Amino acid sequence: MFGEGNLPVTGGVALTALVYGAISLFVTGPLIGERMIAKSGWEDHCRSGLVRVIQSEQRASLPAIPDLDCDALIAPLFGSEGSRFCQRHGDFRLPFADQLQAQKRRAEELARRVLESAAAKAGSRCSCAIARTLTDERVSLAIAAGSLRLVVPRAASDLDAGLQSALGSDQCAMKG
Amino acid sequence: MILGYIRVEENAVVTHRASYLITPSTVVGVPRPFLMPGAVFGVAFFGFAAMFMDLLYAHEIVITLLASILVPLAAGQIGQLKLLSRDLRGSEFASVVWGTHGELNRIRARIMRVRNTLQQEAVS
Repeated sequence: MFGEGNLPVTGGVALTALVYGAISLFVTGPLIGERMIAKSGWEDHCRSGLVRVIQSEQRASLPAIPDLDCDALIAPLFGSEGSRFCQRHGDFRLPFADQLQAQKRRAEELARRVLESAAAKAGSRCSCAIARTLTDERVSLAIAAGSLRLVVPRAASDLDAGLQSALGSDQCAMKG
Repeated sequence: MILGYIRVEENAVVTHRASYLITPSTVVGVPRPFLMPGAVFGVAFFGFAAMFMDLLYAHEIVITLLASILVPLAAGQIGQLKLLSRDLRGSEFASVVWGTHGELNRIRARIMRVRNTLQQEAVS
């Protein structure tokens, strides 16, 4: 349709547009996306949210082993008379109470370690969600950056939705 | 500053890669191919700093604003000496040398003086 001499745009204009587009796509777009996420504080919310979820799951799964000493066994049944009995006869424990308590301590220690490990992994899972969102929404962010915010696609203005979706993706779930 | 080598002789222009015979019909131009792209990027840098001020660090704003001034200035300094004649139409040799616009303009004036002399000699 257009010959070499009558192109609607000159080579220089096309090259300028191409370079501008590439800068928006690979530099300024991801940069503003990253800054928008950092400004919203999403990463901190993500980490603390994941740690809370893990904590509540742990609480539900830990066996409730009561203290098996005199105060725990006699006093609830016989009230103040039971307490006096315990004071008079001293503390005693049921057979195997020490083993049960040691088991409880081991379970709590294990839970604490699992929580620490999960908290560290939560960070990488949230970072994964951010990286994936920046990749998925690259074009929307490039449009927002390249147009100097004159045109902001919905995906770029509402990054939270993309982040939540990326957080639940298989790719990022494996990091947790 | 000239990228390469150029010498204006009595009836020819000699460069590091070709020699050009100056004829009365020779047209000499010094376009600045990067002036418009430079201006576009200058405006874009300024706009980016202004519109994303809330997301940029102070030093990034300063660098971007400096770039919005320096990029068009630098782009405007780059020129290309072109010799146009019937023989050179469509040839890659029409582009003679690259260099700073001021220096190339001085060479252009020297070529034009040679061309005018040749033209006067041809008339007489």
